[in-house]
This record gives sequence, C-alpha cells and structure tokens, in this order.
Amino acid sequence: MIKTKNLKRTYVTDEVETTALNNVNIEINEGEFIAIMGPSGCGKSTLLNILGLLDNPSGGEYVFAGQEVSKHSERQRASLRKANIGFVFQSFNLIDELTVYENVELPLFYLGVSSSDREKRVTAVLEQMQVMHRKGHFPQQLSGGQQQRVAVARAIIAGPKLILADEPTGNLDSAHGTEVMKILSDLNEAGTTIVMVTHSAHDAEYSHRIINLFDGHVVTENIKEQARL
Amino acid sequence: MNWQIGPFVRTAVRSLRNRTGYAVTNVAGLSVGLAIAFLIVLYIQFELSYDGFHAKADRLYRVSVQSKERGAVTGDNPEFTPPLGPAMKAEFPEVENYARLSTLRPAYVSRTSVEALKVEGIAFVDSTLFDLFSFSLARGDARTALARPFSIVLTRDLAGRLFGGSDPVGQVVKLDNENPYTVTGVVDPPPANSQIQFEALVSFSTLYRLPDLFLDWNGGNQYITYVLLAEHTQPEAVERRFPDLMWKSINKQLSGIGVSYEPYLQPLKEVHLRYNADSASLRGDLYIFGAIALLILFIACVNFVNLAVAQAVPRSREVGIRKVLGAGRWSLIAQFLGESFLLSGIAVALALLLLELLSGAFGELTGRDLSPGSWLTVPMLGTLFGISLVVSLSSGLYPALYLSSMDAVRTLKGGTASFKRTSRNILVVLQFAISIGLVIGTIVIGRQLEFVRSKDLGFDRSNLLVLPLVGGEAQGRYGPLKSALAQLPGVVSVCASSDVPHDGFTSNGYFPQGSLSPMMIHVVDADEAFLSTYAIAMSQGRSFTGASAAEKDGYLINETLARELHWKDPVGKTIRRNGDHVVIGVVKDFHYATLHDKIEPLIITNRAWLDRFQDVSIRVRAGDMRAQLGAIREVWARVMPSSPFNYFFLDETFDRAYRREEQFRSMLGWASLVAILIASMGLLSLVTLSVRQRTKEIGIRKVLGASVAGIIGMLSREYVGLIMLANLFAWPVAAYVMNAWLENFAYRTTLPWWAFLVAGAAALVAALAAVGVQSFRAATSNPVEALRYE
Repeated sequence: MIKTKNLKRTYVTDEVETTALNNVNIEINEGEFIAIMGPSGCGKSTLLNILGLLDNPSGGEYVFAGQEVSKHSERQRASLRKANIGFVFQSFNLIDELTVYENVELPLFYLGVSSSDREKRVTAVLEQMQVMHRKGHFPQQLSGGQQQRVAVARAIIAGPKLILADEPTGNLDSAHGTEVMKILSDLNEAGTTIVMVTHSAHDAEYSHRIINLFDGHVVTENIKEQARL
Repeated sequence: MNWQIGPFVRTAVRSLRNRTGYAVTNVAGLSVGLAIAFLIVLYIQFELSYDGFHAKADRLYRVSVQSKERGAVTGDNPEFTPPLGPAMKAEFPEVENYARLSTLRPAYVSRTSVEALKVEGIAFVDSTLFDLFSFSLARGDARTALARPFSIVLTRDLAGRLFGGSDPVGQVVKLDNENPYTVTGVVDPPPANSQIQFEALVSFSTLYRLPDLFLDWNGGNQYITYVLLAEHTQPEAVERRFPDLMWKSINKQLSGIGVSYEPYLQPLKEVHLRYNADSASLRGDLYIFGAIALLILFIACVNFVNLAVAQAVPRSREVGIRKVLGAGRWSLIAQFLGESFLLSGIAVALALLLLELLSGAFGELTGRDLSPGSWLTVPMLGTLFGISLVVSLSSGLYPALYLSSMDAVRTLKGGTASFKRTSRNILVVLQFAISIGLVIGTIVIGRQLEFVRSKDLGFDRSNLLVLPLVGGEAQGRYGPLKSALAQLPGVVSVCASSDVPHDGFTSNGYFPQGSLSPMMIHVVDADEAFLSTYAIAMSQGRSFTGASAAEKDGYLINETLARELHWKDPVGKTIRRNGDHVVIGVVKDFHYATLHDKIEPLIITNRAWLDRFQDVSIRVRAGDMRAQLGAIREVWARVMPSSPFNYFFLDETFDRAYRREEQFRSMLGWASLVAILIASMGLLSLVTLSVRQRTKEIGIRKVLGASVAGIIGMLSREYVGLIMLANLFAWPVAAYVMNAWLENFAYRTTLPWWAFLVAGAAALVAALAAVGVQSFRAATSNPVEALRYE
C-alpha cells in the first residue's frame, strides 16, 4: 500500500538547511499495524506528514495505493487524502466551535455526502465509539479520552484504508490510553492499515512491526511475531 | 463540493459568538463608517437630483447670454431682457414654448392695510410656467392662472399664513401697499431640489402695466428665459440660429461700441451643478464629501481586514484541521467570506438605522432637506446595497484568501506560524494618516473662519442695525424717519444707501475720463452720512455734503479704482454715465463683499435711483440693545404706520455669508472625530490580540525581571512609531490640499504650523490610550498566570 524510495525532506530557513528525512525506504502492506519510533526530532512526524499526503518530499519517490504521488499538487493530494486517509492527533485537534456530531460529520461534508446519509453514518460511528450521548456537546465539555474517541470517530467516518495516528495516547492517562489503543487494534483487525508514531513502548506492543528512526534515517525494523491483544 | 449554506452560517455565528469583542468592534466600526458614507451618498444624490422631477426636464433649457467686448467674454448670465423668449418662439421652429421668470424680489404682501407679511421670493412669470415645469397647482387653473395682469399665485404655505383656513382664490392682496392683485391659484412649494424657488408668482403681463420699467431688448437684465424644445431636437440646432436673431435685434446697434450678446442653451438638469455662480464650489464640496466618504469607508474596511487577519493566529489550527479533513481552498474561502458577510450584514442594518436617526440632523448640518426616510427609494437602496456589497467583498476577500492559504501542516505542528505584520502596519499607518489629515483640515478651516471674522474690513460693522426700506411708503418717508431716529439718545448716526456692505454691490458700465470703452464698476448710492456712520476713512478729497445739485452729481471712488485707472491725483477727474461726474474724493478700500472676493473698483454716488434708498443703517451705542431696538421700533411705527418693521444686525449677516464654510467645518470636524474613533477602535482590538499572543513572552520577561514600565514601553513603542510614520505621510498631503482650499479666499490665513502638531498629538493620544490600557493590563498581570496559559 505504501512504498517509499530514497525519500528525502529538507527544510530551508534563513539560509540554514536542515535535513529531516534522508533516504528513507519503507514498505507498508495493506492490513499492517506499524509503529514508528525514535527520539524527538528524528523525523517521525515529518514522515507521517508525507505519508499522510499533508506534505511533499523534497526528493525520492512515494507510491501510495499504486500511484506515484511525490510530485502531486495540493489539490491532487487533498482529493486522495480525503477519500483514503484518516488522522488521529496527540492533541485531538477537534474544532472548538463545532459540536461532537459536527466535528465527526465534517469529512463527509467535504466529501459531498448527502445530509441524510451523513446522519446515518455519523450516528453509527458515534455509537461504535460510545460517544453518542455526547453528540450535542462541544469538545471542551468532554474528557480527554472522550475527545480522542471523537477524533477517532472522525478519522474513520469516511471509511479510510489508512489511519495515521500521531502519538494518539500522548495526552491521555493510562486507562484512556489503553482504551484508544484497543480501538485502533480493533480497526486494524477489521482490515484498516494503521501507521502510528509513538514514544511509548507499551503502545508499540500493539503493532506488527516497529520502524525506528534516528536523525532522519531508518535504523532498524523489528518484525514482531504476533500482535498483542 | 457541497454548497449547503446552513453549516457555513452556523459555524460563522458560533465562531463570532466566541469572539464577541472582535465582532462588536468590527460591526461598530463598519456600521458607523457605512452610516457616514450613506449620509454623504444621500447628500450627493440630492445634489444630483436637482430639477429632475420636471416631466419635461430632458427638453428644458435655460438660456444664458454671454456678453462680449471686442470678442472677449466679459460676462455670462442667464438674466437678460424680456424679448428674447418671445422672439425665439416666433422665429425658431425647434422652440415649442418658453417661460420667463424675473429675478426674485421682496415685497410686503397684505390683505388689509394693517397686517402685512414680508415675502422675499416673488417672481414675475409667464403663464406657460405650469406647462413647462411640473410645479403642481393645488387650486386654480394651470392654463389661465397667470394669464391676466395683476394675478398672483401663492404657495400653500404663504396662502395659509395670509388667509388661514379660508379659500384664497378670488381674494385680493396688495404688494407693498400699492397695487391690488387677485389670487388665482395656490401652488405647492417648489421641492428643495428645484433650482427655481419662489413664494409667490405674479403674472408676467403685470410688468407691462407697471411704470418705469424698461422691457425692450436694451432694457434691464432681470429676466431668465427657459425654453422647451420640440421632441428629438438637438440644442445645437437652436444655438445656430442665435447669431442672426441677435444681430437684427440688438447686436447691430451695439456693434459701434464693440459689444455683443451671444446666447446659448444650458440643459436644465445641469444648471445646478454646472452653470450657476456657486456651481464650481458646490462641485468642489461634492468631491470633498465624496472623498471623505471613501476615506472613512476605507478606515472602517481596514479595521475589518486587520482584525480578521489578526485572527489568523488563533484560527490557524482550525484551518489546519479542516484542510487535513479534506476542505478545499474554495470551501474555506466560502466559510470565511460567509463570516465577513454576516458581520457586514449586521453592520449594514445598523448603518441604515443610524442613517434614519441622523438624516434629519445631517440635513440641518448641510443645509439640505434630507428628511428621514428619504433614502427609501429604489435607486437609493440599490446604491446603498451596492456599496455594502463592495465593502463586504473588499474587506472579506483578503482575510478569506489569507486564512485559507495557511499551511495546514505548519499550523498543526503547533508552532504559531509567523505572520507578516508589514501589510497590517501599512494599513494602520494609512488609517491614522487619514485621520490626521482630516484633523488638520478641520483646524485650518476653523482658523480661516476666525481670520475672516476678525479681519479689519475697512469699516466698523459692530453695533450697526440695518432697516430695509421695502415698498413705496418706506422709501418715500426716509427723511422724516431719519430726523426722528436722530433724536433717540441711543442712536449715534443714521444713513441711507442702496445696499449695505456684506455680499457685494451691483455694477454698471462707466466711461472713466480718457477711456473709450466702458468699464464695469461696482456702485452704491449713499447719502451724506454713509461714510461717517460706517466709519469708512477718506484717503483724498472730501466726502458728500449735499450742499448743491452739482455737488450731488459728484462721485467718490475707492483706492482700487484709482489704482487701476493709474490716477495719481483722481480728485477733479471725471467719469461718464448719463453725463460727466466729477470725482470729489477717494475713500480708503473697504470690504463690501465677502472675503472670497478681492476688493474691486467702486463708485459711491450721492443720488439714489428714483431718489429712493433701499436700506437705513443706524449706528447705535453699545449697551442695552433691547431698549434701543424698542425705541427705534416705536419711531418706525409712528413715521410709517403701514410698513412693517424689519431689521438685522450687520455683523450677524456678515457671519451668515460664511455659513457654507461653517457647515463645511462642522462636517469635517465630525468626519475627523469619527475617523479617529474608528481607527482607534481598530487599534485597540489589534493590540488586544497582539497582547494575548504575547502573554507567554510577557510572563517570561517579568520572571526575568522586566518592570511594568518596561513592558508597557515595549508594547507601545511599535505603535508610537506607526503614528509618527502616519504623520510623515499626512502632513505634506494635508498641507497641499489645504493650501489649495485656501486659494478660494482672496484674503487668507497662512497654514498654522501648530495644526500639524496638534493633529499628530491627537492621533498619538488616541493610539496610546488604545495601546496603554491593554499594555498596562498585560504588564501588571501575574507572570505565573501568564506562563500557565500554555
């Protein structure tokens, strides 16, 4: 599903060039659960942004679902993204002015799904995430765990093939963190590919494979025998 | 893409609810700005609407006549002699009809010999008036009302004052207590946007029955001719026929002295703004008001843009999330434009409310009839809607483009992206530059008005009471009146004259000794006490004594005339008009017109037309004006029992001549106040946002030992710099514009340097007040709170 070849990303600011990613070669198959680990500043988030089509690489190739996308325009990336990829962030990134229901509905709105269809799907996914009783509330009125469940609901509402999660448990206590990891695991079981950036070895246990990054390079790939349940 | 409008509005409403301060500032500034702009549009529209209400307006023309001397244009006036209209209708097939109106003249209108009303605006008009113009006759027959001599049509208002509720038609009134006139109709008063104004209309045929009037081609130039052209007629076709008609009628006779009259047609609807004596300055006013409207709208729009863009920092996360979730650029633009339109829509509604509340007061301020509700017309609403749309788009589009273009990844990474403040600062500078310019303008205009008021006019205008002599009795009994007034203890001196110095004297053609062509020279007829009563000084020779008939034929001239004629020793020289007149003295120059005009050549004669003076001037002792006025009124009633008493103080009349400048100053004063207020409000919001974004920085600085004063200084410094820059922009432009404005005055003050400092300081104070409050709050807050903010 994902294949990169000599992927490179550099940032140029005030005549200083910083290399965030250098010759990254990875391959991720459909249905996998991948954890990307490494120290702060090693390029994890940069890699996730490129994989998520939020950013273009400076060099190298990126094949997503059979398409070479490294030279895609913002418009092309956006249309691929909204149909195929869901995002979960450490800080939830819910829109404060929208209710739980409206936040989850938003991706369908941008996809042009009819309003009756939207209602059905939002209701279903809110129930699946057990936040239906909170649908009229605004994000600030929810606990962290509930907010992240809403964020996951929003990530899966459009039925993406791939979910990218950037430290999904980083802002949660351990009970809520475990809850969220269980949900991701269940989604993976159901066939969704998941790529997760994490600092937590505990969270990484849920993955099939760990990619370790250091200073923009892939240093090791640990293939695990079996996913922990 | 899904273009449902509901979610956009919902998001807009919630997003604004969470930022009430921002929304209120934006809406308040924009609605005040829009209201001012709407008022000015109303004013401009009113000026443009002149004479458009006549059904036949497109075919109506005013005939104006250029007078030429040896080919050079020496005058251009619509007032001409009466035969022109009839001759045009008789000889020009293109002319369907004509109507003549005399210049307005005052008279006392009375039903009985005791009660009389002074009426200023009486015109002699042809019976065709109601055919050409759409003045609506409430009572009477439009075709015949003004046909017979000694017929009079009263405006509804005047009829009410004279007759109360009873029917005036068929009743008789007297003008100046002399001839009786039959009331043949009642007409609605002319609309305020009619350049033809009157209180009563007398049949033109009456003129031919009155004595002492010259009504032939070489008669008095007191009659304005309007013509109605046939359908589809080009005015040029008519104008081509003028030379022949004028040659055989009058120009042939005048060719000996090199004078000719050349008429041309002025489209009626353009007369008000193009052809009247005050058209040029009126147009100037319209341009200036239009510019003020645009400037204030600009300031309000800048607030809108700046505040919206400043919101970029707090809103960048939202934009990022939406983009990650698949929002296209256009849907974001639509969302932000939706918010702008919601705000500007509220602002427009408030502006219309303000317009309704202010239009009456504004009408008074500008001397125009802008009654409440007068904007409720389709074209006006269309214009207002158009302005609102342009304002909403222009102030909403940039923030929408800017916010929607933010980099999704960068904003989500939590780092508040660095936003360019340059363009925002440029806009703030422009706002304050405009405000400073308006303040300077207000000060300069005020100074010029003060200068005019306090200028030595060459005569003493204080404590001068003027009694107009209107009507035969009053003019005929001046002698007894003067001797009776002279005996009052409060009266210093009394004189009579054909006019009083305040808005200029009439002029005639004269042949000064040694010159072959006539020279137009202003003239006033005055009795022997005129110079002493007005305290006008002699420069050479002697004043009138009334000693002999030969003496009465002598002329006094002013210094300007002597200078223009290059007469070093004018006394004894002669000036010819109906015989030779000896110059017996020269008076020092004095201002007999407003200070818009330079002092021009003047002749003072000792003989009044038909021996009748128009005004009595009384110099009274300073003190109890009321008692003196009472005594003077008693004398008047005793000497002239059937002429009502009327008076004015010359210095008040003098001030009235500058009413337009006074109105202009108050307009500009209000405009600059509003401009500074809106700009400061905008600045206040900007500072609030900026301080909020720097809370953490301020906290760290305080932990590291920064003082309160230091923090306030740090936050204020940037804005002080901007105001300084605004001054640099505003000063040269204001100096240039105000110099050009002062050019309108023949006698003018210099640009006061302190006006620039005062305006700059005012802007600085307003800005610092806006910055200071927020800075102080931020600087005195507990740093621990500030650091917990993250």
